[in-house]
Amino acid sequence: MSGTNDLLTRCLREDPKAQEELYMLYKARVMGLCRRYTRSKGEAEDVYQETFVRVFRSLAHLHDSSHLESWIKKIAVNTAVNYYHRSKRHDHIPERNGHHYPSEAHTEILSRLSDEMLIGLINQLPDGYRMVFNLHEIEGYSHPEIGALLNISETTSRSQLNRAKQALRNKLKRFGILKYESYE
Amino acid sequence: MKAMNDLFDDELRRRLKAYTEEPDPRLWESVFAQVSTGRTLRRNRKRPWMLLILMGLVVTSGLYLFLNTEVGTGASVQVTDSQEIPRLLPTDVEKEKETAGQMQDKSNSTGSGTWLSGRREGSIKRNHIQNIPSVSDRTFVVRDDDRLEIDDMSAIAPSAVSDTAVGISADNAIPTALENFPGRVRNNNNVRSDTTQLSASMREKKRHPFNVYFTIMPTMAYNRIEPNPHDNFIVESIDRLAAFSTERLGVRAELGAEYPVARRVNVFGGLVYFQRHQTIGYTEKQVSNTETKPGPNGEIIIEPDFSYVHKSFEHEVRNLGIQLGVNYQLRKKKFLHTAGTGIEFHTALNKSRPQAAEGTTNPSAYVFYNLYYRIQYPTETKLRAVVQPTFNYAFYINENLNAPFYIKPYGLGLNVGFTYNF
Repeated sequence: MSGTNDLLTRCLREDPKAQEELYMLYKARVMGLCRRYTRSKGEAEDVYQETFVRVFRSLAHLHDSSHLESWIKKIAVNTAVNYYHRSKRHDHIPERNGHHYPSEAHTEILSRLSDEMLIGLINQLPDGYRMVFNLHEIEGYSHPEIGALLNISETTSRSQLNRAKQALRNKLKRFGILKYESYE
Repeated sequence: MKAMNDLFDDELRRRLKAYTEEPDPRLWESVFAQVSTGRTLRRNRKRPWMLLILMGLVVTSGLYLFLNTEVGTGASVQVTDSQEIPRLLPTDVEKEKETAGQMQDKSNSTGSGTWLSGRREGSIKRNHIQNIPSVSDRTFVVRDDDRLEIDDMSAIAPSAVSDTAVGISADNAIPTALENFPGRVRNNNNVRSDTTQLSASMREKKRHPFNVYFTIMPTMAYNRIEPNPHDNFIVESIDRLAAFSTERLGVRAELGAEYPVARRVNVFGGLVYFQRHQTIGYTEKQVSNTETKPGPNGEIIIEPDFSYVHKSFEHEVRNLGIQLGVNYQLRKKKFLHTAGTGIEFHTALNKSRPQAAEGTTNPSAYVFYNLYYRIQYPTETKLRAVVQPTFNYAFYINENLNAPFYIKPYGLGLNVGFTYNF
């Protein structure tokens, strides 16, 4: 922990080496997060850069170095949400094709998917679905919180989460799942 | 079915949560550049570099032109008088006599917020939340009137990272999303947004699309004087003027607008008026008499006698021009410090005299290089006072002087004026 403290102190003194060190420590995790929240790699890079610029500019506000990682992650999430608001697109929301609940085959095919393919699936989700899905499933935000963040109702948040999951399953199906359980 | 659902969701969550990806190594350079220079985030990352390169070119070309002129200042030009007396062949004698006569005639004809504090109870009601999405508003600002605005959330306060904020869970219903926001909610009614420097500057750029400046300055004018090697005059010396003589005083006024192209970089363009008048005294070396005698090998040797005539030259510059350039904001605290450079294209207002008398100027066009340091105060108001030490140098002149030398003016001045920021 003293190492982190020392690193942060040097970063606050705007020591370029320390800044690079901090950047190197978290770059892959932040980029992974940015990739999940955005549609393309280009967009992810924009969010990624903005995140790190904000991290370095706001370091003085971080008092407890033990929370550094979650603090950076939170900045990344907030930046992604801002980016979502700035570049709101009117996605075509696909029609619902009924509920497809996951089967063992879904889980199996999921385990066989490479990380890149999985991120590709997430990227293909409509922006709103992707945001809700990430915020709820990965970051653990509640629906009221998501509603406040994205300016949607709690019900919409729930609905979009379900649709996001549904869309993911549909996409997984195209990756080779032939048998699934369907409920209308 | 629920177990299957959970299994699938858990697997998906685990995979996505653990997902990492190596970013493009060039991104660090971009991040570092933005952090160290405070440049605005923009997709086109080449533009600031292009501006810097352009600025560098302007500066270096100006310095190059300045340093590569051979002659010294106007006050210290020395023209050699050790001109070798040529040994002339008999056929050249008449021609030389004619030339000497012309020189004599000519000489005789002239005279001289933050949004944090405490915890907020309860949840946010849908109908009390208003989203105001825009590029410039980038922070979530929670007001006590239950409005939620989206703005820059990166202004994370120290308390943002509390245990509850770190351990975000779906069960964390109260106090809703605000709990997980980086900050606290104020208990009073004076909740203001606390934005980062970045978003503030972006808003500033959005609010102030351009600035208008007007400055006027007294200028101490100096000259680089080069004798014309192609005329028939020999300039023996040029009178010295004291470095801060009132004779050097000129006036310069600028009016224009500057437009931000990056967080710290503005381009500007406008009109410039420049006027000064200076009497340049010089001593001309003239041939007063020539003695011709035969040489040992049959040639004819002409030995001239020289006389020295003091003359003066009225150098008048009255120019109207346009200026283009870039400003770079160095520091913004109590004073706004800016360095700028640019090019000015002047046209003379007193030019149209094709048969100008000797001793008067007949200039037509100038290109000036300009370098300055601008200090503005106060930084937060629309109208700001400006003090601006300026150096300018004419590196190109289309000037037909009726004098035996060329003059390239340059000047050191102290602008005073104001800017108005829309």
